[in-house]
Amino acid sequence: MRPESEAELAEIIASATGPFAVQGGGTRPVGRPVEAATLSVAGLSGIELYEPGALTIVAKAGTPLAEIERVLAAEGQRLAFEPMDHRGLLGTEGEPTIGGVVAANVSGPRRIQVGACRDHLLGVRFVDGRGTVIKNGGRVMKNVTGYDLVKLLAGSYGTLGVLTEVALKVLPRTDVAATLIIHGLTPAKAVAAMAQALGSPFEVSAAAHLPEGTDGGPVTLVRIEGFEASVAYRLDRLSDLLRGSGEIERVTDPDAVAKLWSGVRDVAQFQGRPEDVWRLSVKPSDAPDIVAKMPEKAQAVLDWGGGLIWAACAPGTDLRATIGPFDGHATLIRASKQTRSAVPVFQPEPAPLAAISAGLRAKFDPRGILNPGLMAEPGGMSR
Amino acid sequence: MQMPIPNPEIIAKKARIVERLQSVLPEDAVIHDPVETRAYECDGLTAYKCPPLAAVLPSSTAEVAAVLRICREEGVPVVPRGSGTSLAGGALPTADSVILGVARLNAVLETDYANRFIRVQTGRTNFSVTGAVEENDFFYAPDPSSQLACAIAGNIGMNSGGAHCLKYGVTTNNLMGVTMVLMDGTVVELGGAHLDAGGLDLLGVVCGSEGQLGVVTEATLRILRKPEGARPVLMGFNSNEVAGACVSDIIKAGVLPVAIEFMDRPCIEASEAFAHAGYPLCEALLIVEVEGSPAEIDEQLGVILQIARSHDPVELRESQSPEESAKIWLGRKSAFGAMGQINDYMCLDGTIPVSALPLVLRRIGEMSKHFGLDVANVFHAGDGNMHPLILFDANKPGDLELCEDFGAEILKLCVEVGGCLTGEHGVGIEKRDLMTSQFTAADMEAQLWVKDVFDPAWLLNPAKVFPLAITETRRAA
Amino acid sequence: MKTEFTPEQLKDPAIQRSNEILRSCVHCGFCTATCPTYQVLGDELDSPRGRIYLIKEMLENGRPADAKTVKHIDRCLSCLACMTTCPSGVHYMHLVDHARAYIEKTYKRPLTDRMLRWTLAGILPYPKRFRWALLGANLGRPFRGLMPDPRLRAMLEMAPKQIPPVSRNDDPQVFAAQGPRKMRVALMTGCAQRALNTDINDATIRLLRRLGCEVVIARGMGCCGALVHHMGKEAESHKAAAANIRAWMAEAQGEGLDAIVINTSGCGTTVKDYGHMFRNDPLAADAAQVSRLAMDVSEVLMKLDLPAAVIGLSVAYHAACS
Repeated sequence: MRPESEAELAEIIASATGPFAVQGGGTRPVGRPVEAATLSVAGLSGIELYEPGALTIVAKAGTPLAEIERVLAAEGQRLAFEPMDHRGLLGTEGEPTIGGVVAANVSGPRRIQVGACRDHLLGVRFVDGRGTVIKNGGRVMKNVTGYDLVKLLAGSYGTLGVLTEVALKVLPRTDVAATLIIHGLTPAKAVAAMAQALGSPFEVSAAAHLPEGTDGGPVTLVRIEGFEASVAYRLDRLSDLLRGSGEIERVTDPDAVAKLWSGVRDVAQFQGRPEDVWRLSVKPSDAPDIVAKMPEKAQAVLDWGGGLIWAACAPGTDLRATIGPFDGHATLIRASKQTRSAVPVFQPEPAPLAAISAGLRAKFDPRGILNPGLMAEPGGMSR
Repeated sequence: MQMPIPNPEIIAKKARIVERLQSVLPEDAVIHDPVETRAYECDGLTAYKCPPLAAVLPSSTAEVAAVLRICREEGVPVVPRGSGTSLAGGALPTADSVILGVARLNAVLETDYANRFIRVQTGRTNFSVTGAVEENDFFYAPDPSSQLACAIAGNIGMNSGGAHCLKYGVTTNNLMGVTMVLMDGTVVELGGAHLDAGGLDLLGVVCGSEGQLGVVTEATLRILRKPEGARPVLMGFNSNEVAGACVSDIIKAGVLPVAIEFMDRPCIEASEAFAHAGYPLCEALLIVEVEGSPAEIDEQLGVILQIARSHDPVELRESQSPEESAKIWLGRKSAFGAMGQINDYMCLDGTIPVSALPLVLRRIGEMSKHFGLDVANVFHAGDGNMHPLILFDANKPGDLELCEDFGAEILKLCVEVGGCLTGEHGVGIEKRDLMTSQFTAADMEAQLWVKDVFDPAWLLNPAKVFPLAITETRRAA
Repeated sequence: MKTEFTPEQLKDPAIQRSNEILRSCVHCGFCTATCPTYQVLGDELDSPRGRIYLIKEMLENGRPADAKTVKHIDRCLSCLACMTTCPSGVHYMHLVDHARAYIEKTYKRPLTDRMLRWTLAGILPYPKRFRWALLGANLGRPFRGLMPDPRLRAMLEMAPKQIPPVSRNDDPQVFAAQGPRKMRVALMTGCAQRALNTDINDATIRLLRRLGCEVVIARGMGCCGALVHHMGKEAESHKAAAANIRAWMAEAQGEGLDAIVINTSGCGTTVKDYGHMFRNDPLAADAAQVSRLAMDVSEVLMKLDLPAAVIGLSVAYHAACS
C-alpha cells in the first residue's frame, strides 16, 4: 500500500486487519525479516519548510534524501551527520528517503564530531499502531517541552510508529576537506593514533582505519574540514602530532577526499562480497581486542576512531558468540533471511530493558502490526 | 498553580515510612523534622512551595535502590532533586512525597582521555565535571548559566543547554550513558562508553524526562579537548530587527560561532548599571564568540565583522585581550543578578525560530505595556532560545499572578510562531498547564505511555510536566 | 524572595535589614557551590541557601530558635565564600550575624555547650589567658582521654606543643619607617595570633617598615570581637569593637592614620563591618571611619611600591577564605 497523505496513512493503519512491513525507499532491509504487506511511505514526499538562516529543514518522511541534499547544497548547507547509503553494501536498489534515514538512525563518519542522525532530529510526526497521528519535538534547536520521543523514534525501525514528517537541523557545508593517511598501522596502533588526533584541539571530523588501502596495506585516515587556511594550519599541526605513528601522506584533492570518505561511509570494502556484515559500536580502545577475537578470516573496517567496527565474516557466523561480552552492541546488517531469522539481528538487551522496550512497543503499537518482530530476538516475543 | 491534594493515608503513616528509610540509610541522611524539611520546600522557583514528608540523602546507587523500593512498597511519591536550581519547579515536592537528593553522590568514577569520556556520580556539579579534566585541557561542553551549582542529575533530568550549545549541543548530545534506578529498585545501565543505542534509544527518552522515569545515579559524559582559543566580539545595533537580521546572515554565511548572545535595551541598561561592563546603550546588543587558533579566529571574525558592518552597527568591538573578553562577557553573565537588584523576576525559556525574533520582541514589548510589568530579554540568538525576565514585586498582592499571566502569553506566542514552551529549563510545574497549547491530547498520551512503562505506579515526580487533569486517573491508580 | 514580616516587625532595624537581604535572595543556589560545609555534608540545611531559609522562618515567625535551626547555623564557618559567588549580592554576613544574635537571645543551649562557649569566649580573645591555657593543654594532653566532650578533646589534640615566647613587638609603640615615610599605619595585632604565631606580626612590621610605613601599635586595642560576634554575644563583641575604635581613632585624630592593617583575614572582615555594627550607635561615625581605613595587609602592599623581585624565588600565595 502506498498512501499519498498522512490522513490516508492513518486511515489505513486504523482499519488494518493484518501486519505491515513499513518501508521508505526500501534500500535498508535491516532486521529480522517481516512477512507482511508492504506499507510504503514513499508517497508522502516533499520539503515543507526550509529556513537556511535558522538551520532547519522540515520534510515529509518519503522525501528522497537526494532531493534534500540538493536543496541544502544550493544554500551551502548539508546534513552534517553524513548519512550512509546502504545500497552498495546491501545490494539494494531504489531511492533512500529521509524517513528511512531517521527510522534507522543512519549516520556516517562525521557522527564522531557532530553527533548522530538522532542528534540532528528536531521533530517528528508519526502514526502509531492505532492509526493516531502524534507529533513530538518541533522545528527549533532547543526544545525540552515534554518527553523526547524524537530520540525514541529515531532508530526504532518503524516498530513504534510510521514516520510521516521529520524536522532536521542542518549545518553549513565546509569550504575545504583534506585527509591525512598513515600507512601500515596495526589496528592497535591505528586506534591509538586516531585517539591522539581526536583528543587534539584540531577538530578532526572523521577518523577511520581500513585493512586494505589502494596499495593493498592497511591505511589510517584522519579528515579535517573548514576554511582553507584553517585546514592547512591544522593539517600541519596534526602531521606534527602524528609524526611518530608512521609514514604520513596528505590528500587535498577534493574529489579524492570525497571518494575516500564515501568509501568509508558506505563500507565500500565489503560491497559485492559474499560474507555477512556486522556493525559493532564499542569503546574505541576496545576495538583492537575485539578485532583480534574475530574469526580468522573475518575482516574489519574501523570508523569513529575505532568506536565503530564493520566486520565481514563467513555467512551464518554468530559474531557475538565468538567475541564474547563487550561494552557496546552489535547489529547484523547484512545476512541471508535465514541467518537473520536465526541470529538476533539487534543486540539482545538485559531483561529489565527488554521488558521496557517490549512495554513501549505494546503501548505504541498494541496490536503488533508495525514491522512486528523486526527488532526482536528469534523465538522471543513477536515485538 | 495547583498541586494534587496530598494523600492523607501517606501522611498518617509518616512515622513508619521514616523508620523504614532510617533502616537503610545513615541517621543524618533522613530529614523529617518539620523545621528541617522546610529547606526542601522549593528549588530555584520560589513562587510555589510545600515541605515534603521527608528528604533523603543517599550516598550510593544501592542506597537509592533501597529508598525507591521502600517508597514503591509504601506507595509514596518520590521527587528526585539534584542541586535544587530548577527555575521550573522541577524539584517542588508535595506534602505526601519524599525528596530524594543526590548531592552526596558527587564522585568522579573514571576519566578516560583516550576514549574521551568521564564517568561521574550525578550529584556532581556541572562545573566540577570540567574541573576534573581541565588540567588535561579537556572540558564538558554543556554550560547552563547555573553550571557552578547545578548537578549533572538535574542537567539530565531537564536536558539542560547553555550559551555554547550552538556548536556543542545540549546535554542529550553529550550524554553517553547512565546508571539508573527504576521505581521498583531495579538498577539498569543505558548506553556506556560506546555511541548510540543497540535497540530503542531509551537513553534518549530518559534525558529530559524530568525525573519521572527513574533516578539517574551515574553518568558517562563526553569530554572534548579545549579549543586553542576563543574570542568574542561585541556588536551594538539600533533595532532588534537589524540585530536579528545580522544573526541570520552570520549563520547563513557558513561560519558557525560557538555562541551568539542577544540582549535588548532594558537588559543592557540593567546589566550596565550593575556590572559596568562598558556596553553601549543601544536597542540591541550581540556577543558573538568564535574558537580556534589565533589565525582561525581572525579568519572567522573577518567574515562576521564584514556582515556586521553591512548592518550599520552603532558599536563593533573585537576583544584584544583575555581581560577584554571577560569584560564583554561580564555584563551578559551578570544579567540575572542585575535584574534581581531591581526586583523579583520570573525567567522564561521559550524557543522560537530565529526568523521570528523581531516580531516576538515587538509583541512582548506591547504585552509589557498591557500588563504594566517591565520585561528584559536575554537570548541565545543562534538557536532561538529566549529568556524574557519579567519583573514583579513578590510582596505585592496580585503581582505574581499578573506576572504568570504575562509569562503564559509570551510562551503561547512562542508556540504560535513555530517554537516551543521551554528550550532548556524544562516544564516542571511552571509550564505544566500550558502543555495543551503545544500538544494535542494524543501527543501527550504518547508521552504518558512512556511513563506508564518505566513507572507503572506513577510515583516518580508525578505532579510535573503534564496538566494534572490528564494524569489524574493514572496518579490515582 | 517573598517575605512575610508584619509592619510591626519591620520597625526593628535589625529585622528591616534582614528583610532587605532576604528580599534580594532569589534562591538560585549558586552559593551551595562554594560552601565548604555543603561540599562535605551535601545537605541543603548546611548550605547558605538552606540557612537563609531557616533564618527567614525563624525571624518571620518571631519564635525562639530551636535546636535544629541552631545546629545548622552553628555549622556555618562564616568564611563568607558564598558572598563571592552570589550573583544577586545577598549580604549573607549581616543576615547570619543577626541570626546568631537572635539565637543567643532566644535559645538556651545545653549546659556543656554553654560551658564550652563560656570557656572559649573567656580565653581565646585574651592572649595572656590563651597562653596559660596552651600551657595547661600541654600538661593536660596525656589525660585527654578523660575529657567528656569530644570537642574539647579535639582542641587539646590541636594545641601546639611548642608555644613561642611573647613578642614585645606586640606592645603599644611606634615603629619608624625605614627611609622616607610614605604612610602611617596602625597594625592590628590580634588576639590568638599573639599567643600562637608571634612571627606573623613580627614579619608584618618588618615588611611594612621596609616599604616606608610608620607602624603604630595602638594602646587599648585588643581582639576584633569576631569570636564572640560569631557566638551571637552582641554585647561582648561590641565592647571589644568599641575599644578598638577608640584606640585607632585616638591615633587617627592625633598624628593621623592612612590605614589600619590587618593580617588575619577573618578579623579584617569584622573590622570592615564595624560601620554596620555601630550604625545605630553614637560611635557610628568613628566606626565607619575605622571600617574605611581597615585593609588587609595584601591590600596595603598593592598601594606601596613593591620592589621588583631581584632573586628568582617562586612563591605560593594562599588566598584566605574569609
